[in-house]
Amino acid sequence: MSTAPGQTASVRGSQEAAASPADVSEIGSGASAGATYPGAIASDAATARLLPVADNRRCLAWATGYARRRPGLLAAALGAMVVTAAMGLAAPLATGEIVQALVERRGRGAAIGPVIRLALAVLVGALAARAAGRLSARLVLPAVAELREDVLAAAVALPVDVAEAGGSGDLISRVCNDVDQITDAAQESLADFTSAALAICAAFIGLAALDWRFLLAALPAVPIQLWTLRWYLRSSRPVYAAGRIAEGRRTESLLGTFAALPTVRALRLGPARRAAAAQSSLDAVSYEIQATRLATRFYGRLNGAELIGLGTILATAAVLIHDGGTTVGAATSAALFFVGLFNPINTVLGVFDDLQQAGAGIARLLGVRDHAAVVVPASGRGAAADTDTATATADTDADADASLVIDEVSFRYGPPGGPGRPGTPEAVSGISIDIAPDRHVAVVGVSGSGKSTLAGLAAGLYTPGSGSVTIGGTPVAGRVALIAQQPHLFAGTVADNLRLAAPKADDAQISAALTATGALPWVSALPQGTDTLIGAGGHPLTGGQAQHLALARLLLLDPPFVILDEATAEGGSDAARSLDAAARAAIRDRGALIIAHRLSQVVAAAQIVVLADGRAVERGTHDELLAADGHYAHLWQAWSRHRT
Amino acid sequence: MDTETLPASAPSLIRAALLSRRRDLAMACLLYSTHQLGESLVPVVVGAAIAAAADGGLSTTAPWLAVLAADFALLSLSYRFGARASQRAKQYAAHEVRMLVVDRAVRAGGGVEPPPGALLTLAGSDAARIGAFAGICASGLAAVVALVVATALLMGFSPVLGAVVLVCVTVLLLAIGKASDRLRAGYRSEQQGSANAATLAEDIVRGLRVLRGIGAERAAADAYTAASRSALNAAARTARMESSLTGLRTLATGAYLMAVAGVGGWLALGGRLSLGHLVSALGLAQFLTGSLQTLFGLGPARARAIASAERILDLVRTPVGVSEPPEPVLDAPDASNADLQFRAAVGRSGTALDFTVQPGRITGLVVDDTRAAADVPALLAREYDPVRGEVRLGGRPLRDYDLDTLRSTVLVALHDAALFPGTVRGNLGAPGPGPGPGAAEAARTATADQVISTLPEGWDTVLGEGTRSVSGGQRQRLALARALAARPAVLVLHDPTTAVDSATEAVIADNLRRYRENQTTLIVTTSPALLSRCDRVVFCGSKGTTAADSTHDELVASLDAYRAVVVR
Repeated sequence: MSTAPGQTASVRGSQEAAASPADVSEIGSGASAGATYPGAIASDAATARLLPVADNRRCLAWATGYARRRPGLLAAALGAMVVTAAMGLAAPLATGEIVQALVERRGRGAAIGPVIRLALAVLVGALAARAAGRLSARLVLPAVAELREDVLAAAVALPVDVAEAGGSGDLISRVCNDVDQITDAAQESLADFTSAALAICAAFIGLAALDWRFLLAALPAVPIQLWTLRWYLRSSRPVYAAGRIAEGRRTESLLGTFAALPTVRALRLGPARRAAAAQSSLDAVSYEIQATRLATRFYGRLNGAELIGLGTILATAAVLIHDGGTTVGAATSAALFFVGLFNPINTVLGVFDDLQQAGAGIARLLGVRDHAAVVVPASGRGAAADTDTATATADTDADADASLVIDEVSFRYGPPGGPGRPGTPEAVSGISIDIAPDRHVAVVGVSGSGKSTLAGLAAGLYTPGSGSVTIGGTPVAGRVALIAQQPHLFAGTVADNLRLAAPKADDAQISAALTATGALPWVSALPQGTDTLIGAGGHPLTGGQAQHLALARLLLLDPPFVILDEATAEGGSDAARSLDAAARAAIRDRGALIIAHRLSQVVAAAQIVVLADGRAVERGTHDELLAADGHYAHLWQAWSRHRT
Repeated sequence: MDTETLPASAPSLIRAALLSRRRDLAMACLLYSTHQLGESLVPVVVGAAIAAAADGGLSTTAPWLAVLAADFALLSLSYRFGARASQRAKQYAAHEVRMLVVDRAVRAGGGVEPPPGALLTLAGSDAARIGAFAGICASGLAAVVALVVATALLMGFSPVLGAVVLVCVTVLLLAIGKASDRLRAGYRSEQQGSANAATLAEDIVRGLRVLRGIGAERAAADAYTAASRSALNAAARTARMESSLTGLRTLATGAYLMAVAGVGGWLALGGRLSLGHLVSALGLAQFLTGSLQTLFGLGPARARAIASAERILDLVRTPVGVSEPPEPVLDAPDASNADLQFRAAVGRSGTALDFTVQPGRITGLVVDDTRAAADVPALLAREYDPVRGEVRLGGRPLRDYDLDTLRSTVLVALHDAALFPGTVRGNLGAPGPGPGPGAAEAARTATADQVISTLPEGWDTVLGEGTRSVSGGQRQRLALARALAARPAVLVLHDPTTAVDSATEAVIADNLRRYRENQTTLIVTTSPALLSRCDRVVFCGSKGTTAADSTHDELVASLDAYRAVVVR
């Protein structure tokens, strides 16, 4: 509650524009160690680990670009808003007519005409208001939907360490909360702006028509208003930006709890998790309140400007009336016209506030979308995203004899796009491994020695800080599949989960893959077989079963190279036995990198590489390494002690 | 909020959320009304100033300028503090509702079905919608005050005109309210659409490594696009309905103006209303259109809030997964009596389990069927209750105990236990600065101290933000340390070392043996490194047949089925 948002927020005024194509290719080839990219943000500690945020220029370019694609819709929406606002002016006119009729002492019937005209204006105004609402929804809703889709598509293509840099909360918060905020702000500001702008025009014309000197008298208010607006935009931007970040943290905290409810219950962490959620929620609330505090100071200063403008007009009126330069009536009208300007001017200036809020969200969304364009190699993006078998086959044919070459790769975890946090040791340093087609190389080492990071690098999930991973001299994307250490079941049917790898696979192919991996018996025994819903909220499966499906999925994908990262570590006995068989089926006739703690799996490998602290400290066959009596021999001793 | 004080209906949930900040709400309403008053005084003061100017020039105008400044101070300050109070009411009402969702989610009895993304939508945008209604209520109440005052003034000019306004406004408000109710279903499906998209996004991000590993980015993005489009369609439907309602509101405001102008004009032209009164009446009517728009906006805002409140109520009212008896056993059994008994207990695997865990010993449990093995920790943690048979602690069925008593006595470290966003220290339950001797020793036992020493900020490293770089094995060791640090009377570990290398596993097994010496401990595993350090090993073969109760070495020597499971 007592956090000072201004301190944790970074002002993003000084960013450079997008990276040049040269930057893209440089990072794509992995040649530049820890290349930073222009437009990637945030130097300060609080935001250093989050995904990037785009600068103002790019937000504006996006908005105008979108508007330009739909000129007709934009014009129609604005037109409907103008008509709505114009019809709102009919009431004072009708009132005037009735008063005039009274002054002229006409009969009761004289009220009928103005009332009918008013009725017509009301009807037209209502229809226009309805149209304006519909048109602006058609303008705004698809724009933000498209943006969130682009953002998610971009996020899944990012190097995994970058995408996960801010925790899942950062990303999820962007595609959910930020999108909500943009929608609300954009829809409101459009209509408000139009009607207020129209009212201002009408009032200014009225003011000028009465006596131009009144217009001059009103001018002292203008510089104050402009100065106030500038002050406000500058001081509120970091608050809004920090507020969005706080909401991201709230999302992180809530998701962390919601995704681990069994752990929360088993460890009686309910009160602690509740307290953490409450704290993060109150933090986010404090930014909202801070923003309102600023906004009310903004309106307070605008009130000051109004008072000065009105005071000047009244003083001018007093002088002019005294000198006989104007009439009491004209002075009254001028002052009231000016009073009538208060609300519309505040509304128009308030629209900048809406835009500021929407901008904070848009910047976060564009930040992710555009970041992908910079850090994902152009060639990799196409191939990685393309699961079309024809392309994959073509690639395979060309490089049928090529090895998977891991050449001197190094990597350290750090902020997105950045060179890694100083002091963070390299997770992997200078490792080279060649995997010929059909050859199996194993990687062993104590946990935390960099095995999973190496697996991620080899599969193209991470971009190496230096060194390269290639097949036949080109990036690996699309040709190396990885079975990750922690299985994940997506909400959907068993078949849906398998088809992720091969969207066009038919039922026969799915059964074949299940049969080949030996998963068919237990899948068939599920309540609805391959149509059983699994994943969050679905039929519970064990970790071993989840990995079993992952291996079946691998067969459907049929890649030339496979990386198994502890693919059979899960769930001890019956499942593991069939998992071992499934893993053997999955790596048959392919090049494979096998990471395993269960050393029985690595004995047969053509080469075993032992990692320690991110470096390859031993390599050789099982027998050679036993003879060397080093790290591997030590691991083997611990492993085999209870198994012989 | 307590279980006993659960809101009975969506409106009462909203009312409770609003009233939780009643002072802010009342202050916002009062100050907004003052603001309105100040605003309406501006033209009056302006008139007086000009009249004074006509009488005597600048010198006589000056005092009125001072009055004007005072009025501006009044209206500006009342708006300033009114808006702040309104924002507080809005934000804290949303916070209360958010915590209602969190409270239900973390309840000990479980039973919460929706996936994380759906819960997030409830705690995020649904809670915000209820909060937003609180903000609108503040200005709505101020509008009512303005309306009442203005109508009373109108009554003074002309009772007929006042009555017309009163009837008109009442009828129109009811009509708009009625029409707004129709929006409720639309808002619900809109929120459902968002929840579905959020759920999918969360699922995709959580499974990102798996997706990337198989190059399924596009398939995932396509699925999200489909969900986003159907959410968009639902949102577009409600936007269309809202637009129609906006048209209706414009129509209603216009109808009100017509009624005042028509009746007022009729009366004035008929000589029953003076010119001055007519002008004042019409001016007042015009002034009130802003308040009316605010009031007409209450209907849709309420429909939005109710739709969200209904969704939240659906969650809050979900029955618990496991219940406590009316008079639960609050006293944990003595450590010497804290034995665990599975009496033909059948969990979700359908396999009956039958074995006993002796107090004061470290027992290894090997279950051939992995799904049956997974039932053991789940049944002991009371994630669910046995469909048949019984699980007992100290001779009493688990369901007789108070859940908190049970779980503080029998701590189950689930296999896929998660770490939470926050520091390592916080995760390991070490309060205050420094790890504390308890947590430090637990960390050493689980070899998590080695993990912590490699983290950039040691015990103060924040997990969950950019530190996904803790590997599976490191995470497992931290989770084990957390369970050990709690020092429960009965500790249940499920496959605690599957992601740990064999050398480290051997160290952990030795440490564990020392750390839990003479304390009731059950390790569900097939790892020979762990099993060989257990006092006893229970083996449940396939089809639930128990079971041998012996030691690891004897079972390896005597039982082929056991050896086949354990030695691979």
